[in-house]
Amino acid sequence: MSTTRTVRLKILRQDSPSKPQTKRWEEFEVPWLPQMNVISALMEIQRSPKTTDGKTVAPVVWESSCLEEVCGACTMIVNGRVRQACTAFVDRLGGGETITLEPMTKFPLVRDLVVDRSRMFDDLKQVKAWIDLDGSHELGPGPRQSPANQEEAYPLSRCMTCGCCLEACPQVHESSPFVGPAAINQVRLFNLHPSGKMHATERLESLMGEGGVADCGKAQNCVEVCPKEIPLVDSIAQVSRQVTKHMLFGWLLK
Amino acid sequence: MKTSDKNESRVARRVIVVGGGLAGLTTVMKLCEAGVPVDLFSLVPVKRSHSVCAQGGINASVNTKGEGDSPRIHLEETVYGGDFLANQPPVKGMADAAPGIVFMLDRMGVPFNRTPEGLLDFRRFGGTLFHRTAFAGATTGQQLLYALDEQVRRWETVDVEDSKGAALRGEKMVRKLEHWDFLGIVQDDAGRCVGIVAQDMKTMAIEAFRGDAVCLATGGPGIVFGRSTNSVINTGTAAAAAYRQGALYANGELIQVHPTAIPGADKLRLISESARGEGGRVWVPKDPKDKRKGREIPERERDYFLEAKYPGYGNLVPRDIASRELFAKCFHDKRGVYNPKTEKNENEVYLDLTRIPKETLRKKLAGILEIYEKFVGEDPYENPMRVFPAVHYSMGGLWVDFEKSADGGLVRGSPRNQATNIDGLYAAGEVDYQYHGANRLGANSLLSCIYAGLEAGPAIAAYRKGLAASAHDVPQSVFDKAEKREAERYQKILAMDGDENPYALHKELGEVMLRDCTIERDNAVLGKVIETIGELEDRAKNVGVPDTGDHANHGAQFVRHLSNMLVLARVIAEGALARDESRGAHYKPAFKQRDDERWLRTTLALYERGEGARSSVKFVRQLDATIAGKSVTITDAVDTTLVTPRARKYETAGAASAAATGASSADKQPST
Amino acid sequence: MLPVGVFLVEHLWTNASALAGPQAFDDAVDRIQRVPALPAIEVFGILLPLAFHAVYGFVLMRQASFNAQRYSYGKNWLYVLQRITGVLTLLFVAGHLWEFRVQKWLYGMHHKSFFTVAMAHMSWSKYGVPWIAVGYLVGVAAAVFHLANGLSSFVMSWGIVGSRRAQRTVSWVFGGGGALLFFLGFSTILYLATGTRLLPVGPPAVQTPDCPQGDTSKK
Repeated sequence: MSTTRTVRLKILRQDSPSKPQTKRWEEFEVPWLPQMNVISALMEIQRSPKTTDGKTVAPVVWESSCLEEVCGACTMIVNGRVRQACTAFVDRLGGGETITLEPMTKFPLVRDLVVDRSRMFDDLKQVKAWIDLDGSHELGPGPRQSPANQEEAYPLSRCMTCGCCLEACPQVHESSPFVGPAAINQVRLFNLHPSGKMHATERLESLMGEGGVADCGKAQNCVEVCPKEIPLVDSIAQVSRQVTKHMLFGWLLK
Repeated sequence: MKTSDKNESRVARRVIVVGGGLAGLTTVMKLCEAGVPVDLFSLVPVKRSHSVCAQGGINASVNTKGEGDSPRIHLEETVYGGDFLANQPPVKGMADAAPGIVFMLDRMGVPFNRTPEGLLDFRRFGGTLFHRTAFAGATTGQQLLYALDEQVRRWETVDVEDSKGAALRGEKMVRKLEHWDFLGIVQDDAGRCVGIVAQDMKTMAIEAFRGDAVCLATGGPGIVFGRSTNSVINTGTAAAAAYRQGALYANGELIQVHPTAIPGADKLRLISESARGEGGRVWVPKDPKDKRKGREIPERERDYFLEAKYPGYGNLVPRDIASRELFAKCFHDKRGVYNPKTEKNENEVYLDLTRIPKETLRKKLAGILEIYEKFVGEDPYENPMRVFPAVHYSMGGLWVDFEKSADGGLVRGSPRNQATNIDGLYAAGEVDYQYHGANRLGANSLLSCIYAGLEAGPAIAAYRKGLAASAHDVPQSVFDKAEKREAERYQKILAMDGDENPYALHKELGEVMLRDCTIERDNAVLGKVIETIGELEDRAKNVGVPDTGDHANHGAQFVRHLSNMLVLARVIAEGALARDESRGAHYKPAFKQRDDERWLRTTLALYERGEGARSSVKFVRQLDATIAGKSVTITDAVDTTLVTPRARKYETAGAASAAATGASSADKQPST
Repeated sequence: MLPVGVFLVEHLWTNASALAGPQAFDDAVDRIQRVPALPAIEVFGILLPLAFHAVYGFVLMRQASFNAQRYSYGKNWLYVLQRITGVLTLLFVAGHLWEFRVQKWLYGMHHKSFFTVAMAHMSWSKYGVPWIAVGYLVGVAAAVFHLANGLSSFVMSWGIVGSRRAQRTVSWVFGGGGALLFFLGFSTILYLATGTRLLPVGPPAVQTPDCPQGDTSKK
């Protein structure tokens, strides 16, 4: 076994939110596999949960689902940068060195690499990220849309609520009310849609108060870390424009 | 006395939906529209359900391409593709409803690709010659899931009203319980399902919940095969738990293997059939020792083996056939792509998109090409992709009922639709067995999930209305008992201190199932598989629980899922052993022919305890059950009243739709 | 923000008239002194907006957290710098106000003596380093950066640009303007401190044919 290639992982762990004293780094060494990603390394740890100093420990806990970067579950901080663990390939992370894994810092910790991102889903309620459907009964085709409209909307609609943008945003943290880029992007998406437009002002108003779009600090990390390359900064700019218009002229129409 | 649809006690009288994928969300939406408040349980935040992985599209015979497509043809091609094992009324219901479903999704804001005129665009998929598949890039499942998630989120903000229309304080139409693991149903003394027991995967608290009805929409069991195209959450644990409690499991042996996936250490990633629908071609080099890169091999030295053997449907033959051909090419003929490094023919064939204009690829397939590029590290716009079949979908699942209408479809709103043999327990989505027979056509799964939800919602609402007594009036002791049963079971897991690692056992199970229970099946080998499953069941009783933590304990949870996976593995393997014929995805070289006389019937499996730690399967031909308060005799007969069974012949263009289009017009079919 | 920004440009422009010599500078200052209701403009047009901007800035600062070492992207560094320069500018403005405004109010310093005082302060040095002039350079640099970068944020906050690309283009314009503005301030400071003139003459508005020799800077 000594000649086989191995991968070293250094993982920041904590047993539960109520036990900060259990916060610790643990190191693991697992056999290397071709095309290995961080998830398969974590799976190897599950099958043989021993640290490098020979201690048997509980397997590392992480969240994952699709493993092909469309569900957003396995988001964590890999070598200091927030991303999905399923597309973090061991061989492309800088060879030979130890890979460090940490949970995201902008969300409440659950355990080890798992955090609670439910605020992101609550934010979607706040900004009314939906079409106000009359009902699911048959009402014939939806409104016609140009291919150009579809091509603008589709990339925005690929947001998997993974939280990378919030994690990297310096304006988002425990004591900040900023809603973050993901929800703002959804407002742009729904305000683009022919029937979504009909309720555009409600969504804009939800972004006008504290924690709204004006809290963006223009650091633009969001767009750099977005795994789906969603033009988040464009979305913020577009929504800002809509909000400005609504603020300046909206009251005249009331 | 009908108290169930009232909320006089100032507490919402809810029903329960387990699973937040397409089927679950659709069910929830329909229930809310019917005024029924819902508790929605999900193992993961619903937006991360496995439905996100569906890529290619959703079928609906909208017929906007001037091809003369119709739901009638869609019905026929679906049952033909499924080798006539599907009950036809539900398939008719689905095909008829399909255009309306796609329009509904369009209204919800799904960014479907458009034609220059602004209409929905449709592309081709397997098993048909018609452009019938609506799509949103190559992440259609994700987009559909998001649209339904948004609609359900909207219901999360709506107050529950009592019978006088006054809002119940603090009660919203949908209450989501995410990161909860389903442990089992709660049955009253008469056996009626009145709730569930579930575990909060953060705090590990085990709790019983009341529900006037329960709908399982918990997806397929792909993880039984170790690595598959499925998400890691698809262990089938909920279906197995219900099966262990007496729910009938149907056609378990019918597992779809998708022909084109990217091999990987942790998962086999799907490359959608839409790649072929948009013109992608499958080939291997004619010279099995050809060392050149795929793109350097000239046209005349390529063997487009699917097109050669099936000129009628070419690369778009149904998945069972394509997978078998790919498998044979690699395993029997040793003609997989040669790898000069390993000096052998790898189990891979080329899926070639490089001749398609890049702009088309970018607009229609970017999602899957991105996956290939990320996971293989090669540019699929320039290089033929290397792919191999992978376990993908379970046609089988929990048995569900239907009520047939006069025109041969389903009676919408009948409480029998989507009902299992346990009164009050419903199933919808991949977890049910209803819509695909022995093989599912591509882009029919998104459709069947949503359609099943559209049926389950009204069915449950009707069932609830007809209840003599609400589950909310059942004595608390019933729930306490169920809660205690599950809590004890969990404590037992926490106390396990054997030598076996559950993850390692799962890997062994997966390897056996994948190797011996997928594309080609052999009775002697299956016998050994079943023996191995038994041994693994024994060993699973001797695991050491890897984790004894009191918070987010995934290790203990996995021990539970493993035991459920072993139960389903047995259902699959024993079903495969029993079915001595070849039909759809089930293929036995020793029984090459479809045998309608003996096997045009549904495999019905009932759980029984076996020796020691082992489970046992009891196959039945018929079963008496109470469904929606009425006695029903379930049989294994397949309703083939709409399309008469005939042999499948994908060599001939139009063969799959010959009855609906008229055999003579087969040559007038649109062609590639 | 707008009044403060306009004032900064105006201020640097006026001060640059010093390049044309004490006379030109005094004339420029005189012209300003003759503006009707000057105190009101100073208070409502400059001081209050500035104070508001400073207070608002501190509120914003409380919402900020820095992670540019982890996410080392250009815009993220600008985000950090914007906040640092904000503080620097505030300190600088406070010092600058003390130096001239407060002296004027409290001790009756006449605006005619601004030039001399400025020149004296600027050229003061210890250990061979003109600390005040360096401080001025840093302060002006901070103020100008804060303005230029602030404007490129502003155009996005208010939706004047609709995309990242447009913002980038506009940023170049503001960056260029900022560079010019800094050059103007730098020239003035350099001239006051050392007598070296980078610009041949002062701004055209205050051009005077007779430029005095700047030898008073030598000590």
